[in-house]
Amino acid sequence: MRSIDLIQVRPLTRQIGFLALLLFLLPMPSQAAGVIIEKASTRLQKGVYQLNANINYELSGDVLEAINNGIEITMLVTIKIEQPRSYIWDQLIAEKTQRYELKYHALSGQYLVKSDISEQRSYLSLASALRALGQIRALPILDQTQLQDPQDAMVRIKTELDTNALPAPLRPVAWLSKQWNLSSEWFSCPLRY
Amino acid sequence: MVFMPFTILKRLTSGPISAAVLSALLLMSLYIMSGATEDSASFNKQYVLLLITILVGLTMLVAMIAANVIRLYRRYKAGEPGSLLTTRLLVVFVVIAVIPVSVVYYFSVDFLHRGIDSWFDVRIEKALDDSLELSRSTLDSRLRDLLRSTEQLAVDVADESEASAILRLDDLRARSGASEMTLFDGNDIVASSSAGDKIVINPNRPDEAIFSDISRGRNYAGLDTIPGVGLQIRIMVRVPLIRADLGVRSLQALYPVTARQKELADSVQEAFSTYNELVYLRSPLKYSFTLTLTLALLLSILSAVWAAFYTARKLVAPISDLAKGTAAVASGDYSKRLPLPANDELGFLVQSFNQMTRRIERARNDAELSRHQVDEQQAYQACVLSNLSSGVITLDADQCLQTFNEAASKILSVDLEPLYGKSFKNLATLHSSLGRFVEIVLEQLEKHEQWREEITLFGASGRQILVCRGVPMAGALEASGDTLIVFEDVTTLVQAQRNAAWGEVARRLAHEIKNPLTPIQLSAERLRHKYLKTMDKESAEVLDRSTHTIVQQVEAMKEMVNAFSEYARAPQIKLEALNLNTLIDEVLDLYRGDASGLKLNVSLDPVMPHVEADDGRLRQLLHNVIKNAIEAMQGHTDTPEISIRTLCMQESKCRYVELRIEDNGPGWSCDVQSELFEPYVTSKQGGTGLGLAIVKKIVEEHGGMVTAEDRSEGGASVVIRLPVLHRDGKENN
Repeated sequence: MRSIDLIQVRPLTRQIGFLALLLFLLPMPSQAAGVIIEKASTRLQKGVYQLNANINYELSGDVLEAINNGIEITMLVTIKIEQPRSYIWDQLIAEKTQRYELKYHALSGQYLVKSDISEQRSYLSLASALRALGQIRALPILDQTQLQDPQDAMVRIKTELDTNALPAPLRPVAWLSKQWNLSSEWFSCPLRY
Repeated sequence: MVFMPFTILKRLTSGPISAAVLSALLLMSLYIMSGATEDSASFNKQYVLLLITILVGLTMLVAMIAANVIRLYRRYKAGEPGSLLTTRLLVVFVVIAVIPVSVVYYFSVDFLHRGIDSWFDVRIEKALDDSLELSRSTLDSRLRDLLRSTEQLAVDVADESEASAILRLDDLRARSGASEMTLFDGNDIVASSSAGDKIVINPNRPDEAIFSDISRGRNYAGLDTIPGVGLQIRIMVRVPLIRADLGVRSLQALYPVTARQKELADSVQEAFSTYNELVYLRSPLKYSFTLTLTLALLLSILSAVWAAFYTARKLVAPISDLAKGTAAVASGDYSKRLPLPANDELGFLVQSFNQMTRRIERARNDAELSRHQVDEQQAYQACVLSNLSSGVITLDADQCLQTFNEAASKILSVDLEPLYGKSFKNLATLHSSLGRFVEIVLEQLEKHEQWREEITLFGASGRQILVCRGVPMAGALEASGDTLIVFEDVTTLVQAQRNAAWGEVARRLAHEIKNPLTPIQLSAERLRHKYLKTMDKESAEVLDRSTHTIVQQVEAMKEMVNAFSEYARAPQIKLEALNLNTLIDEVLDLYRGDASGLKLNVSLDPVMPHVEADDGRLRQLLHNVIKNAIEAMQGHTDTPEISIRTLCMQESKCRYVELRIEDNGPGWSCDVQSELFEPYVTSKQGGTGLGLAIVKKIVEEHGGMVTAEDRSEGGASVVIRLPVLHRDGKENN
């Protein structure tokens, strides 16, 4: 059970120090530490390219605490299919963003995972819920007809925390704190057929 | 161009427009901040923009303040007026602004935290926890019942093969009231499933953790949210191992929760979840509010500091203007006008300053104008003085030369400039020819009254007659004791007057005398002619002699009259440079070898400069003097002797030629000596008395001087001084 201190005033100096530290950290580039795309591959199934990927989510203490306190976490998986060009930047053929939501259900004591395309599933432990969150299976990403020349096409994947989906008061913290930096590097794999 | 960014920055940091822009920015930021924390949607879009705006605002403010600080420091270093006052005002303003804002900030943060904490109540949290617990325990008893009955059902299907199990499951499901019943084989794969009327293609599969629990012999009973159905009770039990070939199987039964129970459970879950989230978000919320407040504080403080700079500068500007203006006035620049700051006390001060400088400038201009007028007046007077033909000098009480004009220098033939401010006596020392002039002037000055004197000088330009008038200064200058002396060269005038007078006398006399002479002569001749024949010899002789005398005397008189006419009709003098020695030689040639045995002693100065004279007149002059001497010597001496000497004399700077003609006659008669050169004055029998008068006239025409004196050894001497031709004198020098 949580204990609530009715009067809890931090010293002013600490507040200012904290703020100064945050302002100092603000312009620093973000680094992917907790989220790694381990592998990704595509295959052509009935005229549709499908994506399989394994993403390893390692959440920080702050994020775990938030989840256990009923905060819903939304991860955005962005998938880009690009045609490389030698003389100019790559041509973007298609872009797709997939939402994955993770939430704790206090009454049943289970973790619920839901995505745009699949139904909500419940898991007894956070570990299994995160595992389920990181497994992308047979996600249709592109119709074969959309791609003229699939030879060199590349798939790029990135996953990141949707801070805008967080409750408003949590957003500044999520923007400014490294603990909340749940963003992976871009992962590339060829579009196989 | 290099200074352009700095100029722009300076303009940006000093104008009131930037202050207004920043105030607007500040207000906008605060408005957005306050709105953003309330409204989730707008918060999303604007939070980043807001942060950037505030940071830009902060950076701008810091830059502006830094620019101001640097400018103030430079001004302070340069010792500009007003910089110290600006610094003091600035410190006061900053302290006044920062301290209250900081106090408000501290208490605001304090109240904010207390306020947020007060939203949460221990009792409410406890109640929610309890309700969740109650819900769970309520469900737990049912779960236990259902677990027990499902374990019973598992026993029932224990001996069923996979093929036959489906029918059994239908039966059991119907009996137990489960919504779905699934049998998993030893490999956790669905063996058979029953879901009432519906044909279940893909029965719900529990979490893998449940399978591992089952394999460890632990059955599962719990509330699960089933996709498409919602909250359901999931019971999973191990099927007793009766047949070894079937492996470790498990039976899952999903029991529906009643609508009411579901509703209540959802409500409890929702309330608990929401409240828990709120509790959790308390710290981030505090942080968020504190961040907003702190940014607002920073903006306020920085704005206040900038405003302090602006206000201090605005306040001090007229004061430093005044300081600069005063310095300008001190250095003599009265044209400085200060801009009016505002209609306040400082404005009044500046206005008074401007008024003061305007008045001073006007006064100075007036003074300058007066001085200019005085200068003009002086120049005018100087011009008048310099163009006067009369010489004007003023002497102060100590008889020092104060003023003189060009005419004065010209008449006196000296440059008076070196004597300016010096004693007038110096003039006589420096120029001995002016000794007489100085002597008379100083003599008259003693009397301290108006005087008039005619002074004759013999200077470089020959004889000079000056009419001199002295007046002690009157009016405002009386106290100074100065004396004004005006003198005029009347030489020419006097000579002209004299000439005119004598000419007139001569003409009239000639006319008056000449008229009766001819009848007298004719009458005498007629008497002689008529009565000579008739008279006896003795009488005839008397008549003849008498008439002869008459005729002779008449002739003499005619001659005299003609001489008078000559005097009156003197032709225009023609001056030319000539050598006096040569002229004298030529004239004396006529007298050499004279029958009377005249002895001529000639002593001519070999260094003889040219004189400017009329050749004919000078010859006449010599003839007259020599004839006069010869006539005087006749009957007085048997050895008449005339000595003629020429001498080039020099007295101060004035050079002249002296011609001395001496005889060994009786000398001048005392009676006539004083008026020797006046017409009709003669000591000779039958003399016209015009000879020496003509001599004097000729000498005066040549600007010379003639004097007559008796020689100590007997005899008379005539001394003629003629001025040397100036040009020639130079050549000779």
